[in-house]
Amino acid sequence: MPKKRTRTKGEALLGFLILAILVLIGVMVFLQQFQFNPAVTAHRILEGGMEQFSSDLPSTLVPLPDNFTGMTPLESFTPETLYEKINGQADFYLASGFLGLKSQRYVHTDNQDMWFEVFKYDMGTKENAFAVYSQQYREDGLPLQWAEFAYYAANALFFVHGQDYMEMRASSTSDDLVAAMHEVAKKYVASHQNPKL
Amino acid sequence: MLHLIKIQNSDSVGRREFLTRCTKAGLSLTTACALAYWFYDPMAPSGRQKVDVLPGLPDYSVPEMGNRMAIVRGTDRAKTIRLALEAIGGLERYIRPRDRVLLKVNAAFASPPMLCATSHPDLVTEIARLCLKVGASSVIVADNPINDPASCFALSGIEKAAREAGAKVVLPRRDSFRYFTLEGGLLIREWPLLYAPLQSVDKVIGMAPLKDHHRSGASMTLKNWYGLLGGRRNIFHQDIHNIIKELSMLLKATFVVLDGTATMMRNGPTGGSLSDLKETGTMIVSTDPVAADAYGASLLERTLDELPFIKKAEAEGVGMSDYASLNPKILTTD
Repeated sequence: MPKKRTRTKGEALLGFLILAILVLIGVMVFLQQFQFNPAVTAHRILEGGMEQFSSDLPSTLVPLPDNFTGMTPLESFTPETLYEKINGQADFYLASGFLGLKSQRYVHTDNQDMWFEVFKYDMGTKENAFAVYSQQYREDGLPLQWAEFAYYAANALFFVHGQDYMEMRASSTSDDLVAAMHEVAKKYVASHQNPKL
Repeated sequence: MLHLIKIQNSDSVGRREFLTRCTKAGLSLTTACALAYWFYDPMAPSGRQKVDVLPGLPDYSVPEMGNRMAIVRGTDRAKTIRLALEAIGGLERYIRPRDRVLLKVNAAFASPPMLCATSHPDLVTEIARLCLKVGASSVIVADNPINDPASCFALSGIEKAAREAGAKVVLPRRDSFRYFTLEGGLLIREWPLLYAPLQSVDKVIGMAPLKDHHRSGASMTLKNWYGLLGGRRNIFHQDIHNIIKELSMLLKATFVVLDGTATMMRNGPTGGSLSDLKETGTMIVSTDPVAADAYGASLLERTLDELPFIKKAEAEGVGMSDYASLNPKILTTD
């Protein structure tokens, strides 16, 4: 009869140690499932919204005249998040090849009621940019000469620059505010002489 | 087989011992598999919080007042709304002392008041002031603009107007929403709804500017309830007329106010230029939102066939598109 081999004290200790670790891991997994991180399922929201918090972006979208400063952070929207900014108008841009929107408000340093907002729609091509420009054209708009397609209507400027369709909307029809907006638009076009087409 | 022979030939394991160990191993495996099956979840996590679906919303209407409508011409919003409210019987017949009132405004955009893309602050001030005057214990002002609600209420002038009149703006927070299913609805099913302001009031007044809308053709009092929806509500733009119909079935307001003082005739709902506006000088107040929108369509120079949501809401019994059947009082302030 062969002699039965008995386990050593060290083997038993090692066995208990491994079992204890396995039980501990099991308990941790069991407890963790009750603390599911919602960020895991929020990835789509983050993908669209992260850029507005990125420190790599310039602080202003356009060159500002004296007495104006940034009123809000530079915001960025994708085709998935455009509706958050312009709601029911989003489908109009999406149908014309919209790729992205950047927008920002600027305010007069001495008068908080004097502000304007710049919308820069990246439409992918110059043709797409012209499509949204022409479909929204205001009949009473006054043509402007510093861009191929540009006009001014009451309190707002609208123009095409390369593949971008741009709008600048003022909070009032104040002469100073409208003049500042014109200056911004002209400087922007002059400083971006070779836009993507 | 070779393995068994090796075991049998070893000097450490006998037949009995071998069977005992096999039995233990089998039991361990069975236990592990049973536990794994017990913990197995065939559905991936939905990522959504626990759904506590609401069965329905309270009825905020005043049935004894019946269907009433007033159309007042004029350019001063404070004057036209006062005259319109008198014409439908007087605000005190709708707002009782100690009533808590919600003004559901359109604050969808951080847009200046002059562009009329949002409820006009002059109108907010006057209605809030009148509600408090007839004895309302509180007036709150709410909407769910998705992008930066604080900026939308501030730059539209609504926040200041409400504050000056003694009302309070309630900004939407994460815990302001509850999941809601509309009975008989195909679209509003377990969908988050801005519920907290509705829960805490006795009367609801819908206040909408009169606007063109790229998707629905028009944004008026029925479309105004879209602002109660939370979540990725843009998906409903694919079936815009039916979502407006369902929204109209969702809530019975005390009355609605359609501000056609200046109408956004094109490039809605955002507009952007004063060139998009037309001075139409009309204030409409009605207990029937379908009638209000039907009249608004004429100011917007649209036919009812171009705005199918009006007929759809009518088919559900929400109101009457033949506004003339309400014998509206047509008045002027000038």
